[in-house]
Amino acid sequence: MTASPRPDTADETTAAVLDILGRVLLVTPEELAKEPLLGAYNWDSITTLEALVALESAFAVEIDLRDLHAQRRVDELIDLVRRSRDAR
Amino acid sequence: MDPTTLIRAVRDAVAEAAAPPADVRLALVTGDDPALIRSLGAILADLPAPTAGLRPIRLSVLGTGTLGAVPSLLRAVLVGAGLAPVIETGEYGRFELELALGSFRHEIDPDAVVCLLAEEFFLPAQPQGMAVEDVIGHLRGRLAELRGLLGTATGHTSAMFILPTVPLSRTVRDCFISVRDRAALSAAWHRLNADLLALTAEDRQVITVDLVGVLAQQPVRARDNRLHRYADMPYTDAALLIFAQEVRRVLQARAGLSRKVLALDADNTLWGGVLGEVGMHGVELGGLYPGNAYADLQRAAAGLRGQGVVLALVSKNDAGIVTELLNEHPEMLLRPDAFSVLAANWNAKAENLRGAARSLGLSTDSFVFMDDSPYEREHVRAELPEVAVLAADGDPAHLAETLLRGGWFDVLDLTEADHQRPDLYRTRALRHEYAAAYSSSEDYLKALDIRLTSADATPFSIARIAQLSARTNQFNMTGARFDETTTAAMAQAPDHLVASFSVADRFGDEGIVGAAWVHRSTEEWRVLNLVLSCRVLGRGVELAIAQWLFDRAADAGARRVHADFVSSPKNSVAAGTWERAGLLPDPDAHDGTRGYTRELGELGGIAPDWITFTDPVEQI
Repeated sequence: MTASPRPDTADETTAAVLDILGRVLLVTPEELAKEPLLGAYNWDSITTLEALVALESAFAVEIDLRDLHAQRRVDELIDLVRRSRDAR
Repeated sequence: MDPTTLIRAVRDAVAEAAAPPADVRLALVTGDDPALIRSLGAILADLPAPTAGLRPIRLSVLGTGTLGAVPSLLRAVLVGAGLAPVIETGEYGRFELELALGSFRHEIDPDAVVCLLAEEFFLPAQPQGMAVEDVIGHLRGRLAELRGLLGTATGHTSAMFILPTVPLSRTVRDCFISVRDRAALSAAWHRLNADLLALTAEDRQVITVDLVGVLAQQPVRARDNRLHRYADMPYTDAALLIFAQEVRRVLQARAGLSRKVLALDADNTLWGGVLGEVGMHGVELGGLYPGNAYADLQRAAAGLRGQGVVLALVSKNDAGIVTELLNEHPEMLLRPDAFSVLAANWNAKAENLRGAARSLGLSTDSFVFMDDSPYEREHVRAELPEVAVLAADGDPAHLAETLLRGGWFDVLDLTEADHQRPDLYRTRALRHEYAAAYSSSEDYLKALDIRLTSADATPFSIARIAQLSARTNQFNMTGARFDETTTAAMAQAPDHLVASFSVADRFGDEGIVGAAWVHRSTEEWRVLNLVLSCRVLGRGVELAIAQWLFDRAADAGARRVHADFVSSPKNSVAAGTWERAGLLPDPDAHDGTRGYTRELGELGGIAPDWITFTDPVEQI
């Protein structure tokens, strides 16, 4: 098993996503960076939707809900936000 | 306040189990980012109930779909308004059952039941393919069922029910391809919403807020199809925040936490331009844009004044030129007598606001201050964080809406006293001048010719009595707050007495300024609460009221009176009243409650001799 890649917190998009996720999951961005597995937190149907709405509003993007549900890790989620933004 | 600072401040308050500071609370009320407000509401869920400095309120939140962010959003904006909500939520899919069975009451009866209605409640399961008349018939039937449910539910409780008007989604409206059918459906839908709003007039326990009307004026989607399909969430968080704000306005008004004073800057707020530089003839006011925008703000302020909001003018200017303009400019709508306080001078504005609060006998936490200068606003914010500060800079076309949209001054019902309040506060300022001419306060009080009229509550006075109960914080003996429904019930009950007290003097009639709620048995009369507006404090009126109550008790054959004083952070002015009225403290005081009793036969006259009792019947 390879070591899990940790999000690069110096990056602006990463920092913003961690900040938003932290607010939704009631944890600090530092904790999220340290343990990027979403399943380790209260990542359920309600918080997923809360994160969807918050991310869409912060980045002015629309994210496909199916794509969001497919994400398991914070860094995958950050990539999804980036892809949605680039696709605009 | 930026999001990070705000989140930290709210976390700190929760960690200390304390009410968030005034500036943080204002940010909660004025915030428009639903994601942020929702997060703050989630953090605030750990605030203990009760919290010192916040008024407790129990809410039950029911919905015809998933409630989603509603409880968190409500909690955040209500804490912002000075309330400490305990929120119970209904079970998903049990909306009708909860209303029918009264199970929304949980362990304790709530103060308010918030019902998040959505279109699914009223529509048939598959309107597509139905004749439009059949859909309309179904809507009528469902409205009748809702009325029935609310009728049953209000029978279970004295709680207030708050509902929204309901938007109709395009998926339903546009499935009718005939233009005439669509118009018929829309007409029926508007009627449905009009009928929901009419419930507010029909039933004292129901209030409908116009969610549809507010949504139409804002760039906010009512529904997100993904959230609706995936989780049966009928509204977006942004729409829910608008709903939560409308609910906040109702509950803030119900709790008497709305603001009472509007302090306005003059230059570039009441008119365009700097008076000291351009002169009276050079200011922009009335006529075409931008002058009409300032006239609009003046009309809005005059409208508020007509409904009981006290106006103050706070301007860094020479008093002479301001008074000249107020008197002589033909387009000026607010003349000098519209303002209960005129402070045109070179003092710091915070100092003038404090001075205005002193002369009005009101606290600065009942003030809204509007100014175009960021410097002045920041200064007032720093000095008086409890004052709600509104920005009057930017395009003057927005001025009137900026003033009105926050709902700072909302009340549930306007009473006679509201209409008269600005004039009452003006006479109060005159009375201060008059006092200076007398050598002793007793001479002054005698010359005032104070008349007290005491009367049993009537259907005409109950709204005002309930308003006093909600709004009076200083002279409030026990803090027990009896709302309109409870007060009306007590006024009817043979074992209770609800009385109103009106005061008049040589300067004018103050109207109903006090109220008492009394439990009476053959042996003992128990004063459950006595409240008196701060407008009439310091004149011995409370002792005349006590005298009237004791005389009534003696006439009814009671042997003894009992009364309590429960101290709060604001009511120290009322401490000692029962001793001064001749009652003796009970030895077993506990929890800040002090009890007082006396045999009625042992009580002498206590009313000051400068107060005359007048009979309500004779007055008419």
